[in-house]
Amino acid sequence: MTVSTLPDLPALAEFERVFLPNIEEDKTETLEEYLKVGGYEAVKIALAKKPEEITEIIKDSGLRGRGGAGFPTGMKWSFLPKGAHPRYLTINADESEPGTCKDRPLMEQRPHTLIEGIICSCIAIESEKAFIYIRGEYYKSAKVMQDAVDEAYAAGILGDNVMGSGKRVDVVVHRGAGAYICGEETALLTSLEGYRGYPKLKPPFPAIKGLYDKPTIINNVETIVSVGWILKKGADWFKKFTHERSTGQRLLCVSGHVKKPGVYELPMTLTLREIIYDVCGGMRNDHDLKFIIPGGSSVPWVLPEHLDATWSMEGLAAVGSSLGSAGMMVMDHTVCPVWALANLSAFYRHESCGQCTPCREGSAWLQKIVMRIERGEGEEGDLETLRAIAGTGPNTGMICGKSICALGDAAAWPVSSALNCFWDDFEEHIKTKGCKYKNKRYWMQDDRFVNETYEHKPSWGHH
Amino acid sequence: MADQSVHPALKPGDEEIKLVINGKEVVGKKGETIISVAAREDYYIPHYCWHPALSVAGNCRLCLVEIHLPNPRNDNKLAPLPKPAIACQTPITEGMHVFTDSQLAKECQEGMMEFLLVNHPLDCPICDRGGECMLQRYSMEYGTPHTRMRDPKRKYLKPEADPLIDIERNRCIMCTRCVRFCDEVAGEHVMGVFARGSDNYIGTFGQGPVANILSGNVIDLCPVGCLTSKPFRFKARVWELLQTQSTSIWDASGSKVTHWTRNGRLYRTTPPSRKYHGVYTVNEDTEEFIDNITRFGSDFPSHENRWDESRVKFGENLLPAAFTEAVRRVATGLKKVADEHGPDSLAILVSPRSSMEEGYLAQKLARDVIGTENIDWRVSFQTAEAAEAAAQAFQHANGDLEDGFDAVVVLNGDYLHSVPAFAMRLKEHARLTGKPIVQIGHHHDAFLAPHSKYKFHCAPGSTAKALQLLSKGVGGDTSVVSELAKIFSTESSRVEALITLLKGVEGRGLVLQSLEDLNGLLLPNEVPAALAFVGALGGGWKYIPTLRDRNAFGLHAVGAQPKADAEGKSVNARQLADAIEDGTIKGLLVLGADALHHSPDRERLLASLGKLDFYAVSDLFDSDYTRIADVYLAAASHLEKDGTFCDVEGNLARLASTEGLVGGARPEWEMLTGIATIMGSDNFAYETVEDVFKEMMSVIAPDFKGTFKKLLLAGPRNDNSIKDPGGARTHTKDYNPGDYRTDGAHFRWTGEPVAIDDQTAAPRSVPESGFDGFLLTWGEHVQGDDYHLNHASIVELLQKAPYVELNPVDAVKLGAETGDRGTLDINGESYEVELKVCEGPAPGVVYLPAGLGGIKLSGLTDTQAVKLEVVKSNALAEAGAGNTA
Amino acid sequence: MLVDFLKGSALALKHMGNFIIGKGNVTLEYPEVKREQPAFFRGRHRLQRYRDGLERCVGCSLCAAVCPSEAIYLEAAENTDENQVSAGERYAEIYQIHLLRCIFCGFCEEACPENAIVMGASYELAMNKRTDFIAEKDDMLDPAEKGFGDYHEYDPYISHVTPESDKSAKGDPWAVKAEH
Repeated sequence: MTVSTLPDLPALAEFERVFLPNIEEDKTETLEEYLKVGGYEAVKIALAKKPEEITEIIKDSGLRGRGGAGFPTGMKWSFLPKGAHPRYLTINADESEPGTCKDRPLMEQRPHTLIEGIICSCIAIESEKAFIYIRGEYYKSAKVMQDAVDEAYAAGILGDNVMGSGKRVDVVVHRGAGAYICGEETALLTSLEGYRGYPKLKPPFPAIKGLYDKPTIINNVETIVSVGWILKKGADWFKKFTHERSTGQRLLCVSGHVKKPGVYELPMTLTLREIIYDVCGGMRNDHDLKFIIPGGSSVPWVLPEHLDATWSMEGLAAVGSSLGSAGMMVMDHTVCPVWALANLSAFYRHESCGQCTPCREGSAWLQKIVMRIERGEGEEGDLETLRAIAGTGPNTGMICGKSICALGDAAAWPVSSALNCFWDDFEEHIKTKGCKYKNKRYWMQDDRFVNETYEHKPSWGHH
Repeated sequence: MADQSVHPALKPGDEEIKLVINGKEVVGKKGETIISVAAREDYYIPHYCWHPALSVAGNCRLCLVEIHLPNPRNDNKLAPLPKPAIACQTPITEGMHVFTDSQLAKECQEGMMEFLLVNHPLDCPICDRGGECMLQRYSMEYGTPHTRMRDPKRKYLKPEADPLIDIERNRCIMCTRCVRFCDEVAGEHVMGVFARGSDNYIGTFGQGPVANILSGNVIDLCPVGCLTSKPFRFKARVWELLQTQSTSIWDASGSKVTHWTRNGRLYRTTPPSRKYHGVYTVNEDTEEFIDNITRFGSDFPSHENRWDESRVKFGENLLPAAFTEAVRRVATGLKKVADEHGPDSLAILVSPRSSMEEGYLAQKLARDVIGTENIDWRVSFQTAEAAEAAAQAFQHANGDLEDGFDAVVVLNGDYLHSVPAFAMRLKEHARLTGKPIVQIGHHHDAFLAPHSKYKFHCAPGSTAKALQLLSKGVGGDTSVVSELAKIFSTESSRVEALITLLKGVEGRGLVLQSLEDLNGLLLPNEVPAALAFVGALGGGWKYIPTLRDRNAFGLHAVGAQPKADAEGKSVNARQLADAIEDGTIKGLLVLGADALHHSPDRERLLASLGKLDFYAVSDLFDSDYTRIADVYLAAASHLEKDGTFCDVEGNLARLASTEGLVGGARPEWEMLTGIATIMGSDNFAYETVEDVFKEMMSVIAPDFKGTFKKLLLAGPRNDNSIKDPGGARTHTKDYNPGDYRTDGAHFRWTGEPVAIDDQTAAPRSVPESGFDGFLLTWGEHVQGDDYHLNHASIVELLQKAPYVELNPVDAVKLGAETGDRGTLDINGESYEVELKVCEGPAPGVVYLPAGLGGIKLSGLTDTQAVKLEVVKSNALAEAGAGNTA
Repeated sequence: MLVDFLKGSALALKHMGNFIIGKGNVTLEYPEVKREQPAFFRGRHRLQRYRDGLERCVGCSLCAAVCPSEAIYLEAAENTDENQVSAGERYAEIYQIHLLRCIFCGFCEEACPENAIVMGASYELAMNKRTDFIAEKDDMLDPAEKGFGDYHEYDPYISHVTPESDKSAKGDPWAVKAEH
């Protein structure tokens, strides 16, 4: 896992990479190495301030959540009820969104920046306990984080006397079991409590009643790391690169058919064209761009005609998509959109927790129909059915806005946006009972999802 | 003025919230949810996962409604919420506009119905839920007539999990009502959701049974055909069955039931059925849960051994005879004995499952016609003193769960397996309101233990002493704390906290005492101590003694036992065998042979019956007790007769005949009327059982306002406002408890408890040392040997294998776990039992439910030292693994 | 007058001749010859089968529920692997129709969701004893070779039945009746 270097763009002339600068040279995995490059300065700054002052700085910086929803972090912190203790900070490191791989290098290569951010945030929200919920598959991340936490405890950075201040901050590293749904904040909490990872009903929101029914703040790894850097460098530094209400820098994970895929630390001021053709070196084999999934698999797709949109929350919202978790997937003209959608739908069907009706039944139904069209068995009316289930945009159709958590929406959005973008391709699949894209890999089979409790014969079969 | 300002739906002091539902301005209480308020205002919102007895799951999404809220930033103009919200979870707010039938709400309902049917098999003709299925009902009302699903449906294998509950996962809609019922109400985490996404399914852990006395209720709670009753499976369609609202005869919880019959055959018994949304359903929006014995065991009258013709002895043979002839024989037989040996040589024994009318007529026959006090129903006690103590307990019973409580003290006993529905309601109240349960004694109820704030174990026999000291403690005497701490083997601070808690209860408190424990051996000490304790606690505290016997309270009320001043002079149930053997009793009339069967010394009693000059019995079956009778009177069963029953809380309930009499069987009130009339009385001119009821009530409760007919509609037992912490309950148009409740259905006979002299609460001597093993305590178990249950069609599925309860401390010492097998040595006899490690018995005590697996405890007259040896389950597990492989 | 007489005689002779040669008869030589019934005739009930011999009736009791004269009584039971009687989990263990009560309205046929009970063409309803009028299941069941349709097409787990498959699955009950 490397973090790719940036090209010399005029727009990036004054841009400073802080999350993962020159990762090959600066080894900052251990506490010793991190302290050499000015580690834990932010904690000292935070300890000198009142909690409200820190929250004000974060509000001033305009930091918005990096997990996907983009909720202003300072505002989220201010929702905590006054005087209600204990309260918890939970770090969402269950990075499962397809196409996203930004928290992993942060945790594996600079774990102490996260601990630093956690301590600053705990001081700000007056919490004494933080949990890091790490995705089950991230074995190395969990190990590195645990080692770093142990180091920090030994050095007196964590524990009942944080850097001699008398404040207490404890950090618990918890490994999930590898369910996508546990990246949803309330499902993460139920999982952390030891139950089945079901999302909770909202309201009450976690800031009021979260982990163990106590006020809880849940933030993404990158958000918390940013908190440390904002305290260190100031809110104005963070606001230097700003597009509308998108401030600061964030990690972009590019995958797909570009020449140089990778994780880039970028300000949110570039256009998609600059990112694909300058930062990532253009399309592979100089193919034509077909579409971009700009923010993790659940966001609506972006067509080449919108390449001049700014890569920021507002810029992508203007073209009907979302920045999401900044996991950008780029597809060239060899990709069959139906096949791509079938892949995504299969993922959501597999990862739906099954708690509420629309997501449980809807995600499976969508997948069945899309898979059937992809196999060349589509029927007249299938596309209308897909439209009716998935809707035409937010809060339309039979799933969006009706499920307990956002996974239902996430399962429906790719379908509705794929139909918006490539209706003709779908119709052609149904009419010609086949697919004109030749280089497809048919690894997707329905029986990939077959449960051992399934029965393939009629139960009263007498043959 | 104050009353006018309070909305009828609210209580004074509730915070009022005004909102608009479908254009109509309505009022709700703060904390109520939309679904409750809407239902009260006749705007029905469909729902599956929501149930008033269970926590809110919010997963079916059928109750989505459109909400508009005033926007304070925009001059309070209404602004629609971006998403529809679920009515079952969203609390009402001031100025909220709710639309339950708007375009959006309808789209949501149609969408959810289509989703639910996407994988649901369309085989309603086969499904047993057909006709009372909410999925059918809502499909017609809220669904679309077409489906767009063109793909094969998901299909699961069928598990063989529970012998009583059929699990058909294909029909499941994942509302998780069953899972939540098991977790929350039944208190056992046995059901769960398995797998993920659209592949998930309902099941039991380890494919095991839902082994729980309340498990049958998940059948009613299931809104679709996933969980259905195995004994009822495919036997009949629900619309063909005649529904009769009646009451259970099994235990003194007083559960109301509906018997579903056709052509004189009982097909199933359920909690009361209600017309709900056009169809008759059970427990849809109500919470009248019943135990499995009531549900599955009530069909015993159709047993093959039923004798439905009266019989009279001719020479050596008991031959069928006309009812009138049999009654004449009984009358002349009794008269002959009375003439020869005097009236006190006759005795009448009444089954505790007899109705109040029968008890009333039996005592009238004994006292007015024969002229003796030898009448009794208290057959299950170990000693005569225990029976007398029980009478004292009933005399002072005055508590009621219906009004709720602020604290409850629970004394020795296994309440869940003695009065299951009552124990469940008690636990539910404590769980939902957070009111404390305090358990004191050598044996706690393991079912209540997780919700008990304080648990104080003491040695067998010292409960009375502890109560006596506690009485002093709550009176302000702090010197008792150290002694109590010693008795309870705990710190003084906990005892002080207990005394503070008890003294701090300002509203209603309850003291519960099981009369079952040790067959009542310790009652002569414990009842007076408990009564004195209630007296010391003062005004708001009430007392409830519990006994499994269904109509114990009713029979006590009508005086079907010797009067208090005649105790000792007359022959009561416990002295009967002695009295027959020494020739004091020469003639015996038994109403219900279960009265003999449930006696702790039934072998001796059965042997002594041969010495009687005249023995008549009214019963249902050909059995050991009826075959030797001089006259057998064929009695009507609980499905065939009418009568009145009273439960532990003093509520009357009416037993109702389903399809009339069978064969030559007659209700016992007719027999008693006939016998008395032939014996020369003219005070027995009753046309109907209602006449008996009227006369009885005028004697025992002159201010009773209700009528016999109204009793049938008297309020649902398990349903009232006590479980209303958040207001999360409602009742639909078809169902309003106020309509069914009759004030007169609830009455009591005695006044306040009185202070008892300290001397009576002297501790009983128990072996403190010099024994090797455990002290034994025992009690009747509803799933044990039972005269009527033995005749039920699926008795083998309902009776439980023998087990003992063991304290975790002792379990650690023995190295035993729940599920291990062990051997229990009692008086030289060895029994194989299963071990259950729980908080029930005190350390050093084992609790053995009596009657399970044929274990007889008839010879025991005191707590006994027993030996328990453990056979580790590993050996069994290996054997089991071998079997499955 | 004679002319009238001859006219009448001719008519009589014509009909006599027709009778002798068997032309234009309205009566039949029952029971040797039986009258053919129209397709919509509601005669004695039949219980149909699938092509593979399984009974179509699943014992749902809808016929009994709809019967205005309460002539139908049935008790259902569960199919087992050893004893597979019908296509669902459930089959009719006892199926009785009281033919003296039956008014031959055909509601049972209309109510049947499985196309199991149909009104047949048989109109011979004379019996020797009153008890014979209670038709048992075996009296009404079609022989196995008369079965039609495939129960797989009625699999409740396959919800989408096209009009074509629907038709072929149900067959044409009227055509079947004509064979009787």
